[in-house]
Amino acid sequence: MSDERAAPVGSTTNPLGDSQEARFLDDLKALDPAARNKTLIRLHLSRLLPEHRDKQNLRNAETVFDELTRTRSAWLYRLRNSDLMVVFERHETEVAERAMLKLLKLWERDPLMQKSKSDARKNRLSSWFDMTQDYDKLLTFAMRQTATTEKSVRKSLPELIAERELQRSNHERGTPLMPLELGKAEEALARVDLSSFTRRQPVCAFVEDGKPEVVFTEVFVSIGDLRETLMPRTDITANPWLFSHLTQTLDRRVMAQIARREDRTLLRDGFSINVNVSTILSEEFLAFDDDFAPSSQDVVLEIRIEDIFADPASFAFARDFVMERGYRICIDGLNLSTFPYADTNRLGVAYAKLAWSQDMAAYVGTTQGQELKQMIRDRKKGRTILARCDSDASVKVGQQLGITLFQGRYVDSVARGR
Amino acid sequence: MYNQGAKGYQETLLVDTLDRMRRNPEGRKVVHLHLAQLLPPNRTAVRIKIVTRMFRTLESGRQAQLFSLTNDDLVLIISGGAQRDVNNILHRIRKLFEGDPLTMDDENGGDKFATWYDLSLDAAMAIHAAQQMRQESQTAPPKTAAAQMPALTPAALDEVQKKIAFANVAPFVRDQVALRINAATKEAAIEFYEFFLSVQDLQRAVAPNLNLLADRWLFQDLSRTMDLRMLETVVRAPQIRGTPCISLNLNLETVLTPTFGTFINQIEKGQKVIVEVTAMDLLTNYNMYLDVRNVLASMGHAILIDGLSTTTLLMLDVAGMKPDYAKIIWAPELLEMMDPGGTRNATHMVQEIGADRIILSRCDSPKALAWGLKSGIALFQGHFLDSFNKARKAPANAAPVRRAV
Repeated sequence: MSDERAAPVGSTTNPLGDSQEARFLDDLKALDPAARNKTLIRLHLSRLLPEHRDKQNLRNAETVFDELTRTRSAWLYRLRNSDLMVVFERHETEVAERAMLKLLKLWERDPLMQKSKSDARKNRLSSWFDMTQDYDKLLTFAMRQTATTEKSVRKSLPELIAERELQRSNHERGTPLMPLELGKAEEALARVDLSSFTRRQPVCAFVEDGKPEVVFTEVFVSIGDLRETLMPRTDITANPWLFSHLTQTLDRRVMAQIARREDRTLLRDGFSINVNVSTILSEEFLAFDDDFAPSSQDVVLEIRIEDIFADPASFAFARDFVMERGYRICIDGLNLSTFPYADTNRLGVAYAKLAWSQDMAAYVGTTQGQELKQMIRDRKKGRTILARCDSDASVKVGQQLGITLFQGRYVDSVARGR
Repeated sequence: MYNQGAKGYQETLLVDTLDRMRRNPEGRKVVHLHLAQLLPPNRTAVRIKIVTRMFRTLESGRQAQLFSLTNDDLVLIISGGAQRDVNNILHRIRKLFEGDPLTMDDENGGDKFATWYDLSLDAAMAIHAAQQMRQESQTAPPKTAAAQMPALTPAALDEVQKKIAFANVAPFVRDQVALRINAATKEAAIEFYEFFLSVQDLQRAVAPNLNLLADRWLFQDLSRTMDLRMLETVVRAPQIRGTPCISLNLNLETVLTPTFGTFINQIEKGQKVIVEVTAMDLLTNYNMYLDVRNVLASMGHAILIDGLSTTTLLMLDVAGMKPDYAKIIWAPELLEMMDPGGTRNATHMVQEIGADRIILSRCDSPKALAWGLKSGIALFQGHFLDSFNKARKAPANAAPVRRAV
């Protein structure tokens, strides 16, 4: 899914700090007594002045340990109060001290540093622990930390229901789409010229020197613009099932539009469209296939993961058929929670598209980040696309995770400036 | 193509063509694909067209002549040189219909999917078969496509939802038992009762001229309303009284409604509720799933991922979702997925999820039960077991099955 075809349903509430506290506890528990020749620094970032505690600063605190995390000689865990736990091999103490000094310098203006800003170990920014001696103390701390997490984050049923009711009655984005309106919208769609709502956005490969190369261009309908015109007071994506029904109509219209072959470059360079599995198994697709069975150009079909698992047998049939005809498939609409389930090896597809989110920046250098990177590397049969990249940071983080294909507004701007 | 024309036109053309070729077969072969015997969901018009399409290159190269028969079967006359290409295509078609019994060998190792004739040797047999097909096509009733009920539309959905909101759904509530079977003693005990609304009966009552299931997404939306009505009804149903554990098919979203909150408050103390959700719902609302799973667990209830076919198991890391239960649909192909080194190994998948979390559903034979027990599964559902349950209830021995009072 592209920037504009966003499905904000069930927005991510991944409490990053909490999950890292849980992992910290797990890792501590799993630590063999023989492997405790490690040191832990607690960075009291929460003690810094608020203006020194912005995202960039917090990220600096992590990147300063890059030299260690890259070689897996150190592990980072962020606590809920944004304090950072840094665990590293004892023989790397010198490197860690150097990193500490950099941080002391970075925040030298903060009142916290007034007394001691040149001693890596004795300062108010950090507390140092020896993993062998202080193991029990740390374990108790971690357990207490996660115990309060469970209580504070895990809500009771009445609380969850109340929260959901509040969400339902909040019509800031418009009233939720209802069946009658859906019917009217679909009728109206038949008369509307969709070309003014059609957008295209390239998926690019970023090679070493940073120059993007277009791999294929996604053609899609801007749901935001369509909503503005057809039903400005309706929250069109509030109901995922009715929205899915609407996308079937849109699939067909986009196929028909491409069949008019108005854009030669598109056809030459390769393109992708969003389709439902049911669309592939329809007469309209067979007609489209008559015209566009991929020969020289790449035609990619983007399918949402929930559509695949709505009827896996039909998906398998549709997949084998279109692959036979030379198309490639991209799993669309993935976030950090669902990406693990879009295994390109198991699904037999060429691409999986993960939407960028700020959370990912915090992943880098953590165990979770390592796992994500490993997952991306293991999926040899299909490549990962990082979509909705809106900044150079998103591309950088993606590259650190081993991703080579990118899409989004930032990518558009770089590609234009080529 | 040829398909326009009189009844049995293709069959007649086939008979005539074969008759012409018999004197000069030139190494030609005939292959008859028995697509008519595919399971109904695999036998849709589009799928048959897709199969036909796969021979298109051969056809345009005049290496194959294609006959689309009235009953959806496909007959090809192919030139000797095209044998290998045709074999390749057949292999791919078999793969398309992998899960269909038609593509599996019969008990004697015979091929049910395709019949071959060598025109130099068996021309008479081929013609005889074609003549028979011609005869059948002429006596066959016209296709019943027109008789199919129209699918639900958005406007109709609105009406049906309004009707269901006020209908008495109590008569449509069904239950099915899930049994825990002891592998050693084969004794069965009731683990829980699953409650659900019979869509068929509901359809008959509120929308007799509509197929409620024809459109997946609209039905899914309808099921939100059905969920609420079921919760209101089940809590008053006599069947659930005194049952220690019940399961319900719900949308994740339904768990976060006041109606579910009321339901939980009204059930008996200590009664355990298992909420059955689909993988599709879970992947649409993953964060909601985590919330729901945690909150149910905190109250002593549980979550179950429903409807896992072998295809789903091969594609999806169900274990990673950490459900309390996972319901696998029994299918004979599970018997074939036992290659210890293979990536398609069913035992391995069962172990990954945890055999003690799995319910083997739709068990229809002793084979299903035996496979499950061998794989370490203890919980079972299915018509075969419903009767098993009744049989064991006979007072011959001290009754090992105790229906919860």
